Amino acid sequence: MLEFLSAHEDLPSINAEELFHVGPFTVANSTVFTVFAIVSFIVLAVLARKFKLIPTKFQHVLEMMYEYLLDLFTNIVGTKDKAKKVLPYAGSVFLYILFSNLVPMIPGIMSFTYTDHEGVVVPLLRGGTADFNTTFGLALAAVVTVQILAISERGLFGHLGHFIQVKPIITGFRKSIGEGLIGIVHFFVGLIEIVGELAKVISLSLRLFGNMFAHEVLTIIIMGAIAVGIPVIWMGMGVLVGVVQAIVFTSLITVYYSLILNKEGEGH
Amino acid sequence: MDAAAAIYIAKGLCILAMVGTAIGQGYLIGKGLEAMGRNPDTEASIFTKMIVFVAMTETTAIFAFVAFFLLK
Repeated sequence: MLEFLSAHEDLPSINAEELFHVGPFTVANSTVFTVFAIVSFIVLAVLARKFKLIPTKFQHVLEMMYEYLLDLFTNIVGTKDKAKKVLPYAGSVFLYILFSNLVPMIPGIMSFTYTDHEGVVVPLLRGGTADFNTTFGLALAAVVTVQILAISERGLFGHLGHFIQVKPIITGFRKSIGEGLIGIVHFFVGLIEIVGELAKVISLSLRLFGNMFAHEVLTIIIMGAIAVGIPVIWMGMGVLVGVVQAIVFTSLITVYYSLILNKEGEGH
Repeated sequence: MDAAAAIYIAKGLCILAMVGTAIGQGYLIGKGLEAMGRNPDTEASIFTKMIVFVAMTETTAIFAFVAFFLLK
């Protein structure tokens, strides 16, 4: 009866649609979006170079963003100096995720389509974070970066000794058999931490991907039910989810980083 | 029982993930509101943290959601 109020569309596939191949690489629609994001950030970087003492409106926005991020990281890491150390990496990850979450919500931008050789019509753009490959790459890069920072803080053997704890066994058995057995338990706990590092990659990437993909799918389901008025509330919710997920991802990276710094401070 | 029916049952079981997430979010928001009531000065800071942790709690439901769509 109220069929005219709804807008039907097919559910998006969980994989990004492939557009064409360049040599051995496949260019999917999320790749196009990533390139678009990179170009936008280069333009922004060029524009942001001309800083004045009396800020323009544009400069104000950038400074507000910088101060917000510095505040966020200072709350997690503790001091402003340490926050300034993580800001270049975590801050750029934040801006990239925010861009990929929010730009697809601009009306019309996802309506461009691409027709390949076989005449199949696929959308030209797909939000970067709505593709599992992008989020997995981001999470892997973040965890590897944290590991590299950890090595630079503790030294290679100091860091490996954190995972493969042979030392507590030797020192423990010198004292008594009971402490030696506890040392063996510590050895296995160290091995479990290796799995923990891998689990970080999976949970970080699946969280971001799942949220953005869920939003896309549920938008289409809601539009299929009723396409007047109600989707506005849902899009507002989407903006909130996009911002919160960007904050969650970067805060978690910063937390992992601060864990390393704190252990260094305790003198382990 | 054919395969399609089994998939529908599995999809239904995926929905059970909502139970845990709902309990977690309710507990988190309840405690957050309690803290805000006790100390209204810190309301802004607690509210932002609450929203962030609610998003983290949602992760388990999102995992179930991904599994839901991987079942075909």
